[in-house]
Amino acid sequence: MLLLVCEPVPAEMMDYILWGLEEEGIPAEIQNQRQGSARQLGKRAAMNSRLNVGIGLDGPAKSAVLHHRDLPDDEPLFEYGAKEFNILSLRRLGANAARLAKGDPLLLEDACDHPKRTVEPVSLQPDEIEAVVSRIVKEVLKQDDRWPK
Amino acid sequence: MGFIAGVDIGNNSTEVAIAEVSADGEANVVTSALVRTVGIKGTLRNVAGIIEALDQALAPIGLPRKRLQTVLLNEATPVIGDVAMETITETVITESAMIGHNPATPGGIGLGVGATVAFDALDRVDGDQDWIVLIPSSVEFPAAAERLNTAAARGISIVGAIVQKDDGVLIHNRLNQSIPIVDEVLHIDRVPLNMPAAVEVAPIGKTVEKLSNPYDIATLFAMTADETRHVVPIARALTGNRSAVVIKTPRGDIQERRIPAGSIMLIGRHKKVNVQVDTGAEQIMTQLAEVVPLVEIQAETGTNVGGMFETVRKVMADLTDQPVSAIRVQDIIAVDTLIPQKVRGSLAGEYSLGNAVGLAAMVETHKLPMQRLARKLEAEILIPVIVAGVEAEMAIRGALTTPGTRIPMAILDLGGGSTDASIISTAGKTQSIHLAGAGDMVTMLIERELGLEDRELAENIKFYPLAKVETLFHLRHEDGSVQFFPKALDPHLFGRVVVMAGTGPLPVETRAPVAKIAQVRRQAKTKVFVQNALRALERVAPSGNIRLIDFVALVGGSALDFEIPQLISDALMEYGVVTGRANVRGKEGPRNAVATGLVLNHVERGKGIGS
Repeated sequence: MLLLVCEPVPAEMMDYILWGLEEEGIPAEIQNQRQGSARQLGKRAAMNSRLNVGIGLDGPAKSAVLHHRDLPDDEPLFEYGAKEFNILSLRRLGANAARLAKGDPLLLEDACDHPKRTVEPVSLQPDEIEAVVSRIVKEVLKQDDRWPK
Repeated sequence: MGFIAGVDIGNNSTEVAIAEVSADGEANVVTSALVRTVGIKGTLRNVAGIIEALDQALAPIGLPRKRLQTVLLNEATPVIGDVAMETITETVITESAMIGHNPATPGGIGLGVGATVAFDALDRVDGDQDWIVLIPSSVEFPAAAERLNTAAARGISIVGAIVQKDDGVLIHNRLNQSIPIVDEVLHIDRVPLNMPAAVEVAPIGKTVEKLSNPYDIATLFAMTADETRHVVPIARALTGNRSAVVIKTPRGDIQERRIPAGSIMLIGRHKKVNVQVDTGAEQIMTQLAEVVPLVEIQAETGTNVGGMFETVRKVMADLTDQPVSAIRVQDIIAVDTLIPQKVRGSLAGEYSLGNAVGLAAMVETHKLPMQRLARKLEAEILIPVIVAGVEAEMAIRGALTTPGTRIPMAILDLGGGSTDASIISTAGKTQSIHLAGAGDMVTMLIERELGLEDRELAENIKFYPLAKVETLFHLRHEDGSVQFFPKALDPHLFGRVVVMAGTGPLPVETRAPVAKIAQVRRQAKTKVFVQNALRALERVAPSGNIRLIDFVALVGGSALDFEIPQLISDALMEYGVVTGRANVRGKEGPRNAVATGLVLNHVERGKGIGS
C-alpha cells in the first residue's frame, strides 16, 4: 500500500493508519511529498501502486483520502477531515484500504461487520411495557374496519 | 355490443379482465390490470383495490366506468395461511471448553499448550510451566507485546495468547518469539484461569490439524479413553477452522440438546394421532398422510406453532363472522431445516446450525361474505355486480386459454399463503383443493436459514438472482457472467454477495458464498413447492394417480419465479406430465386466469349482458 504524505502529520495519526493496514496483512510504503491536497496525493498513490489503491495524507489541512486508480480524481472512495483524525476512524481507513485491495467487504460505520446481527432483548419497566402495548393495540385496531377511527 | 369486467380478488393481488361482448355473444378480452389487494381478501376494504384495478384496466381503451354493463366477482374460497418455525435442537458449550469463531486475522502460526493466565498476573508467575496469556481490550497492543517480551526475557515460557480485540497480527509482529494468537474473543472474561488449554493457528489458506482431531487433543492433555470420547464433538466443531482454542475444564464439552417443541394432534375421520414436533418434518408428514381423510389439526398451546394456529383461526373467524371454535386448521406442511443460532455458553459469539421444523398451516371455510362486498362495490360504482363462478372453475377456464392446452387438465395455483390444485375431467367436471405452504413459507425458510432477520431481503433473494461484487466497477452474476458499471458501485456493496433486485443490487450480509445462498434458495423452493405440487396433484388426480394427468399449467404469483416452474416440471417429468407456466390468452403468462375465466364463462353460459 502506497501512502503519499504531505508533512507534518502527527506520528500517532500515521501509526493508526499503518496499524489498520498491518492487522489486515498488507505492507505499507510511505513517501513524503512537498505539496498536494489529500485528493491529489491519494490519486497519485493509487496510480503508482500495483494494488490500484492509494492513501493521500495532507497533514497541515488534516485530511486523509482513500483513492482508487479508476475513480474520478475528485471522487475518492473515502475522504476524512479533522473530525476523523482519531484512532478508531484512521485505523478503519487503513483496514479499508487493505480490504479494498484484497476485495473484502469494507468496514462501514452504519453497517455491522459481524456476519450475523443479534437482536438483543430490550429490558422495559412495567409502565413502559404498558405504553408500548397500548400503542400496538391502537395501531392494530386502526387496521380493523369495525372500530371507529 | 357491450363491455363486462371480471374481478379476481386474491390474497395478494386483485386482477381485472375487461371483455368486449359482440352482438352475437362472442367475448373478447381487451384489457387487464393488476393491483395489490387492499385489506384481507373478502373484507369490505377490498373495494378500494377493485375500483383502482377497474380504472387501470379501463384507461388504455378510454372507456368510462359507467359504460361497463356488469362486474363479475369471483366466489372466492377464503383461505388463510400462516407460517412458523420451531427450533428443535440447540448447541451448548459447557464450562467454556472451546473457542471456534474463526476470526479473519489471527496472529502467528503453530500450536501452543499451557495453562491460562491473566495478563495482569504475568509479572507474578513462575518459570517452570508453559503459559497461555489472556489479553483483554483494556490493554493496548504495544503494551501487550512489551510485557510478553519482558516476561519471556525473564525466562517465562509463553506459548500462546487469547486476545479480546482484533489485534492478533499487531501483537504478533512485535514479539521477539512467534506464538499462535487467537483474537476477537468477545467474552474473554469467561475464559477460565489456570486451566490447561491449547491454541492452534494454521497457515493462511489452511485449517487446524491437531485440535480438530480427538486423538491429538487426547495426546496434548493426556486424556483417558472416556475423556477422549467426550471431546469428539469439540474436535468436530473445530474442523475446518483456521484457528481454534480448546480448554480442558473438568466436564466441559459442546452438546447438541433437544428442545421440547410441543406436539400436534392429527384428527382424521378414522383415527387420531399425536406427533411430537421435535421428531422432525418427515415424521410429521408421514403421519399426516396416514391420517387422511383429515378432519382437523390441533397444536399445543404455548408453542410457536400453537400461536400460529390461533392466529389463522382468529383471522378467519373475524373474516367470516364466526366463532373461533368453528374454525378448524385443515392442512399443514412441515419442512426440516437448519438455522444458525447463537451457541449457548460461547466465548466469542459463535453460531452453530441447529435443527428446526418449519410449519405452515391453513384454514378454509365456505362462508365468505362476498355478497356484502358485491353490494358495497355496486353502491360505489353504480354498476350491477354479480358474484359469479366458483374460483377453481374460473381459474381452469382462464388457464385453458393458454395455447397448447386442452381438457382434461390440472392447474396448480402457486400463491403466497397456499398452494391450490384444480382439475377438470374429460366430462367437464372440476375438483379442487387447497394446501398449506407456499411463497410465504419459502421466504421464511430463506430468511431463517441465512439468519437474515429481514423479511424483505429474503423476498428479494427468493425472487432475484445473486451476484458477487468483485471490484468497485464490476460484479459477477450467479451464472458466471460479468457486468461492468460506468460509475463506481456503492461502498456498502464492495466485496459482498448481492441480490439483483428490481431497484438495484442489495447487499446480503452473510459470510456465505453465492453458491451456498443459491442452494438455500433452491432447496427452500423445492421443499415447499415441489412437495406441495405432488401432494396436491395426488389428491385431485383420478384414483390418486398423477400419471393419469396429461397437462398441468402453473398459475399464480409464485409461478412467475425464475426457478419454481422448472423445479416442479423436473419433479413431474417422471410421471409423464406436461408442465409449464400458463400463458393466459397467449399474453398474460400465469396471471389473470380467474378474471379471464369469469368473463368468458359468463358469456358462454348464454348469460349475455346485464343479466
